[in-house]
Amino acid sequence: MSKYLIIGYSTAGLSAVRALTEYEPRASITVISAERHLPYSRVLLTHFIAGKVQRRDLDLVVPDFSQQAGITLLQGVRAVHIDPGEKRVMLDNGERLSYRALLLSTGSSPIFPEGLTPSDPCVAGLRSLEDCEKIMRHAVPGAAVAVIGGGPVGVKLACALREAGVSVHMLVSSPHLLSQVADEEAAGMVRKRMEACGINILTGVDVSGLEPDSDGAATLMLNDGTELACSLAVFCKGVRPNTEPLQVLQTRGGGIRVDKFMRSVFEDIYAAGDVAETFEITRRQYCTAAIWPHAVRQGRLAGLNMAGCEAPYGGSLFRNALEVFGLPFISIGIHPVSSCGNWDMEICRDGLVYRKLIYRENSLVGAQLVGRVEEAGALQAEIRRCAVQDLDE
Amino acid sequence: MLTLKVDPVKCDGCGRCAVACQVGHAFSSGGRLPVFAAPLLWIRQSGDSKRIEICRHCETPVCADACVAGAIYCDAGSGTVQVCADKCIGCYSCVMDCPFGALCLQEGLAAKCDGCRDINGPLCAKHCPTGALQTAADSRAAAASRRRGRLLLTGRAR
Repeated sequence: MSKYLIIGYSTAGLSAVRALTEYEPRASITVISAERHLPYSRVLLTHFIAGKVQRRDLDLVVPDFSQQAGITLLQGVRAVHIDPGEKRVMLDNGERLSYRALLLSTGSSPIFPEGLTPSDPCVAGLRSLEDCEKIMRHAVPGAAVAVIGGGPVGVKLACALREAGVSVHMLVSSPHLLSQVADEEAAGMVRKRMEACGINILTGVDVSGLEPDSDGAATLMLNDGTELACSLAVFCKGVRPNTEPLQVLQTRGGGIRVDKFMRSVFEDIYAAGDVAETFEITRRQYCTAAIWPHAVRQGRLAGLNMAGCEAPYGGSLFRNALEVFGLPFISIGIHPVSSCGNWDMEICRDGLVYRKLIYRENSLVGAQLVGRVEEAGALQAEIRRCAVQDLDE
Repeated sequence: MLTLKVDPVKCDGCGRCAVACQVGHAFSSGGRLPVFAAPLLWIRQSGDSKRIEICRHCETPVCADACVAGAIYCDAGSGTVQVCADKCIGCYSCVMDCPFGALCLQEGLAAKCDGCRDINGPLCAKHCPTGALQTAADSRAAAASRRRGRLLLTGRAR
C-alpha cells in the first residue's frame, strides 16, 4: 500500500509530489497519470504553436525525475471509481490501490458545444499536447483556422496561430473580447492590436453547426446565418473540471469543494488545481479558478497537509496576464459584470495605456492594466490585503 | 543567503541605487566603454512618497511559482533568485504576481535584480546614503521585509 496516492500528474500533482518529497523524503508515493507524457507546461502550448519554444522546453521535470524523487508512476491509466470508506481507488485496468491520503489533481477539459466532439477531425480543444499536435498539423502557413471563444486562452491561441502564419478567424459570442476579465475599453485595445496584426475577429456570433467538406476542411454555420470555411475549429469556450470518475464525491457538475487545508468533505481526500473549488477572495464564493499559480500553490499545500503539516491556503484570486503582439494586458480580481454592490472606479487613459481600478465599498477588488503593467504585482498584493481585512471584519 | 532589506520610510528617492546598479552591471560584464543597460531596480512614485521596487530574493519566491516556463529559480550557491533568459518567454506572469513590483520586462524578457552575484554583494545597498536599502546578514532582520511564509520550501531550486 502506498501511503500517498495522487491522481493526475500535471502542475498541481507535480507540485504536491515536490512538497511531499521535500517534507517527508522517503514517503511512499504513487502517481496515476492518464497521459503518457511526463508533466509539461500547458500554458506554454500556445508558445509552442507559435514556434517560440521547443518541445523539450515544455517539460517540467527531467526524464528520470520519478527515480530521483522515488515515486511510483503509473502512466496511461485512469481512476474509474473511488471508495472513500474503504480508502481504495479502482483503475481502468482493474487494479485496486489503497491509500492513506489521496490527492485529486485531475485538471480540466475543454467544453464543446452539443453535437461536436474532439474526435471529429476538424474540431479541437486546447488543453493537452495531443490537442496541440492536432492544431499544429493544421497550422500551416496559408491555412484558415477558426478560434471559437474570446477568453484569455482564445486570445493567446489566435495570436500564436497568427505568428505561425495561419489566417485566423476569431468567433466570440459576447459583445466584446475577454468579457469575463476586461471591460469594453480594455478589450477594445487588445482587439485593435490583434486586428492590426491580421486576425479577423467577429463578436456576437456563435457556432450553430459544423459541416465537414470532402477535402478534410469544414464549413462552420454561424447563428447569424453566415458560413465560414476553415480547416480546423478550435473551441476555447472554457473548461470543465475532470470529475467523471469521482461521482461519489457529489460534485454536481462543479469542481470538488475543498476547505483551506485543501481537504474535500471526505476524510483524507484532498483536491488541488483546476478540479478544486476554492474560496475566491474578491468574489467571496467558492469556484474553480483554473490558473497556473493556483495549481502550483494548491498542489504544494495539499501535499504538505497530506503529510500532516497544517498549512492553510490564503484563497484564490482570479488573474490573467496576456501579451498580445507586444501589448501587455493584466486583469486581476473581480470585474463588475453585474451592478450589485457599491462599486467605484478609477480610470486613467493615455494613448496605448489604460488603467482601471475597481473598488467595492472602498476596498480595491479589481484592476485592469493595458500597455503599462509594472504596478500589477503591487496592486495584486493590495487586493489581497483588502480582501483579508474585509473578511476579518 | 542574500537578503535585501528595504525601509521605505528612509527612502528620499535620490536615485543613487539605480545609478549604482547601472554602473555596476556595465563594468562587471568587462567592457572598458560600457553601454549602460536599464537599472534592475525602480524608484516609483507611490502617492506622495517614492518607493524603491527591488527583488528581496525571497526564500519562497512567488515569481518562481508564477513562471510557466520554469525560467525563475533559486540559485542555491549565491542564495539569490534568478531569471534564466533562455527559458523566459516574456508572458508577464511574474510581473503580475510579485508583491514588491520587482520585475518588469526589458526587451521582451523578465528583468530583475540579480543580487550582483558576480561581484561581492549588491552595489545599490552599498551606495544608499539613507539606509533605506540594506543587505541583511541576520536572517531575522531580513524576514521583516520579505513575504513571510511559514513553509520554507524553495521554488524550483536545481
